[in-house]
Amino acid sequence: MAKRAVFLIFVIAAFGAPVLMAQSNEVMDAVLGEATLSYGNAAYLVGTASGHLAETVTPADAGPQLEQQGLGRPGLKPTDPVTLGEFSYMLTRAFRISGSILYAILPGPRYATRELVFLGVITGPAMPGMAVSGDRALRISEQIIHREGAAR
Amino acid sequence: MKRTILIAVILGLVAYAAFALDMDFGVNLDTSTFLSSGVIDTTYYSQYKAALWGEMFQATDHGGSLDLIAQGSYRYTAERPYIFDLDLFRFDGLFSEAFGAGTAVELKAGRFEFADATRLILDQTLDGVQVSFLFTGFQVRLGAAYSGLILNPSSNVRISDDDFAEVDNNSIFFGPKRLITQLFAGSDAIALEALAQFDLRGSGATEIINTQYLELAGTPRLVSGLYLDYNLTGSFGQSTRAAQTTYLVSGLAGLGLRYFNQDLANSQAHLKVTYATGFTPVVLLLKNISVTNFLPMTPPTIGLVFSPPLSNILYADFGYSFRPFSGNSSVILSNLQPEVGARVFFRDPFPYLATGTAANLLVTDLNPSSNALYLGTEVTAGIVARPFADLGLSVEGGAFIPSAGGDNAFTSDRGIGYVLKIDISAAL
Repeated sequence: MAKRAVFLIFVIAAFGAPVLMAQSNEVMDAVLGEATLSYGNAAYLVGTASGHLAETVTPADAGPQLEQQGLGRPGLKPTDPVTLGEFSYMLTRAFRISGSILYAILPGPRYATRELVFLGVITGPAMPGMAVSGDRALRISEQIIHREGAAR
Repeated sequence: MKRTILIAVILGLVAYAAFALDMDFGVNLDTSTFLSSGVIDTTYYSQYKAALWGEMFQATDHGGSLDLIAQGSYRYTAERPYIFDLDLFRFDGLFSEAFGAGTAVELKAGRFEFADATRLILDQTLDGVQVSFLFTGFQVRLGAAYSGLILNPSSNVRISDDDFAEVDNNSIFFGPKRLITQLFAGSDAIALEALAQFDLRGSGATEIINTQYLELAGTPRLVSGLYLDYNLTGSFGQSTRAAQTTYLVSGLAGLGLRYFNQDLANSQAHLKVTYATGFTPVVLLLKNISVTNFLPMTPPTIGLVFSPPLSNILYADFGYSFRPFSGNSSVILSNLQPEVGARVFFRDPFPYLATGTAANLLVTDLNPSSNALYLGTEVTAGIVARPFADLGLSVEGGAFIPSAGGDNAFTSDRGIGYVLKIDISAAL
């Protein structure tokens, strides 16, 4: 719960209270409870944190809505697990992080993960194919919001 | 070499089949270009390296992990056009809460880096085992390693005359054979470390040297951002030539300060005085015991242009670096890090005070009739840049102004030496 509070504070700082106040506590609890982050919740986190989706969207709808904006992972169902690389790639595109030389040439989960490690957004073991828990995904989201806020 | 690679592949396949491991791999390309003018004492050379690495990782309970990483490389230098090497082959198991909450045991095995707390005595990739018992703010580490399977061009284990004679000998495939043991106990503020190396050259060697070291070192915080940096090492050794053994006593000490201030453009500064004993012949009056040159296991590089052996030396080292654009939204600008440095070198004053004659030092153009202690000053400046995640650059230049001519430490043949070193690394 403390982690959720910290995350919410960062979101408030980044996007303002009106956007956040209606954010679903149930979704955040579901994210924290996931040992392996699902695509629906990943899309919800990325979409709401970056401002591409309204906070009222459900995780089931978040993926398709993000895909319509070219930021999702087509082919994945809301309950499908998301790797650290896929989550990173969704974040780098949603936050328009330009990335490294190889990321510009070969954009994808591999170099998106490395970019977020380089920026200090991801700490600890970081292999593109590894599973990411909901708890870790929240911490990564906090870091990227904090970084974006500091860069403004 | 082929057998090692085969074993690595088999172990990797077994591990992958047995566990649901996460895997990653990559290629690193590094170039290091070294340009010099005038007289220098460093042994750098330009080299180009391509390395392929692979890693398997599995998270375990309570934040523990199992990690297997290997790296092989091809290296080109003008002196040796092809060196294929196994740089790293390490299993690292972290077993959390082994002795309860806040504790862990870490087991490392294979080929990986061994170093002492100062990196002035030992800093080398070796084949061995290391076990660390980790407690909150305190750890105990035990290690043992063998150096005889490290390729000769990759080995910096140089202690005896035989070791140094083999440095540029291309007919010698592997580096000097040593058994190295290590015991560390302590924290960042204070640690006691015992190191020993045993010469395994056998009867064919002209000299067998075994050395042992007892080191006290630490970097305790004095006030916010300011740290004391100290180390004190006593060394005992046995040198056997033609069945006659001499007992060697030597020492290494250092005292300085380190300063960090993130709010002041990520400033980092250090000032440290380091002293390593030289040969003092008067002590030979004590039968078979000699206070002599400090003998590190792996001779460190202590300067850019002027890098004498870490023995019979007293030097002050100052350095400062900062990030003038830290906090800038541009990653390229925020990671620019200019740095400057200066080092002032003297010979060990004690041999001169004890005998009236300064001890010899193995550097170019030393004046044999001079007892002057001041050797000269080195100044350096450079910039480190990490513009992208996959590209790193560093440029460092320096000059050594020797104390030369007349009664000074160097002959007049020794002019100012200059060095420019350019490193570029890319990760694919």
